[in-house]
Amino acid sequence: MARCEVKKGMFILKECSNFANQTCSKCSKSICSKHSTQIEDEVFCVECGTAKKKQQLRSLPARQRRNRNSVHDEEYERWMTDRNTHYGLWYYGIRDDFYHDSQYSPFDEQDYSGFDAESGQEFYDDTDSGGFMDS
Amino acid sequence: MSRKKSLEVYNSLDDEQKEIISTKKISGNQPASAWLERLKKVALMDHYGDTYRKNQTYAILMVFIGIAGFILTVICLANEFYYGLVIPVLAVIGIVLIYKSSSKFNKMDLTNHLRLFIVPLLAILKEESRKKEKIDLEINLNNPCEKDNIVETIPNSNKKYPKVKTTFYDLQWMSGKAKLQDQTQLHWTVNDLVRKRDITKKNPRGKIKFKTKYKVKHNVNLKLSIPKESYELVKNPNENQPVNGAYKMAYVSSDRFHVFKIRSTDVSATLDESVKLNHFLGTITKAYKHVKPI
Repeated sequence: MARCEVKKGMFILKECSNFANQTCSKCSKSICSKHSTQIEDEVFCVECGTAKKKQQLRSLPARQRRNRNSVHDEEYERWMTDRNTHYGLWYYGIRDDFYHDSQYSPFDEQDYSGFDAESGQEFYDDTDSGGFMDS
Repeated sequence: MSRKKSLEVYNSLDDEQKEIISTKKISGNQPASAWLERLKKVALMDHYGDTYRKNQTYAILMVFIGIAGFILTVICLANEFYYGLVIPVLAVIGIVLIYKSSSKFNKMDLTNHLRLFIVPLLAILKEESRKKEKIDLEINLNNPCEKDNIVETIPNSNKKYPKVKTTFYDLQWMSGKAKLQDQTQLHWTVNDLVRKRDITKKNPRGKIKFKTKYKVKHNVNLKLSIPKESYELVKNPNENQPVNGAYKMAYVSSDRFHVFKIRSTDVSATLDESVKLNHFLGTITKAYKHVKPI
């Protein structure tokens, strides 16, 4: 069975390890239920779903658009009010805007071996002088 | 409607969540998912509360009852119908009750940092750190413009109008520690430096007007300890400091870590805004842009 192909994370991208049970109708990626969203009876991955929502917002008449916030603001409110909604769309909306604004290209899981390191180490910093910039 | 929703959410909160609203302080050490579970409902209650306060329904209601009470008092007195004076008495009681209810509601108000910054940041850290990795948080959701936070007051020196009194407040409202999945240790603090200007103006017709203006500097201090076993330095930030001071960065190399200390500032013109999430994330990436995975 295929794995979900959506990449999670903001600074370091990693593959979602869930089993996929659907396919994105736009990019044909295999996706799990956590990273899928339904818009107008079509199933999208969260990335394509965010793009679709943004496109819908842009196509609204200017008067209606003025009264609405950005896609991730609306989705954030929906996530807060609905216990069963996953935060996918607003999270990916924030990520999309952030990459666009900062021109940051994130690292990929395959870029380095850091993930193999043991977790649970103590918070360690041998240069810690207690302050921030004053040392 | 928003008031009802807000109270519904408030009544569904557990004791720990209600304590956050009464003390306006949060501290602890738990995984991001547990933090989100704890804070999401509190943020939702604050969202409905803010909508209600923004609409000022209670103020409109008080004015309406006040006017109706006054008109009825005049009518009753004109017609010598003294039993009818019960109605204005009831109106006064009504106004007092609405005022008490709204002030109780105002006490439940938290700063918007929780809804606009803290909860979204925790969702991002949840995806960015391992499932059981704990996040240390110390949060203060009190209004920064309180007496305890005053750092400087400049009294008005003008004898003529406009008269300006300036007060500066400083409040560190968040500090946190988290470990990302690449073993990078993130330690941050955010403090708000608020400039409050109380301005009294007199227009040419002699009418005196009062205005309060705010400017808020959200100072973000970040320390990123990036493990040397996973990353190598590609350019030394100490050699290329930004010219116009958009942010300051210092780099120290320790045995196991590349340590970046970054200070940046985000500015807003009202107390309702929080530090922008993109600004905070952008500050983190400033360090990541100087390293490369091995």
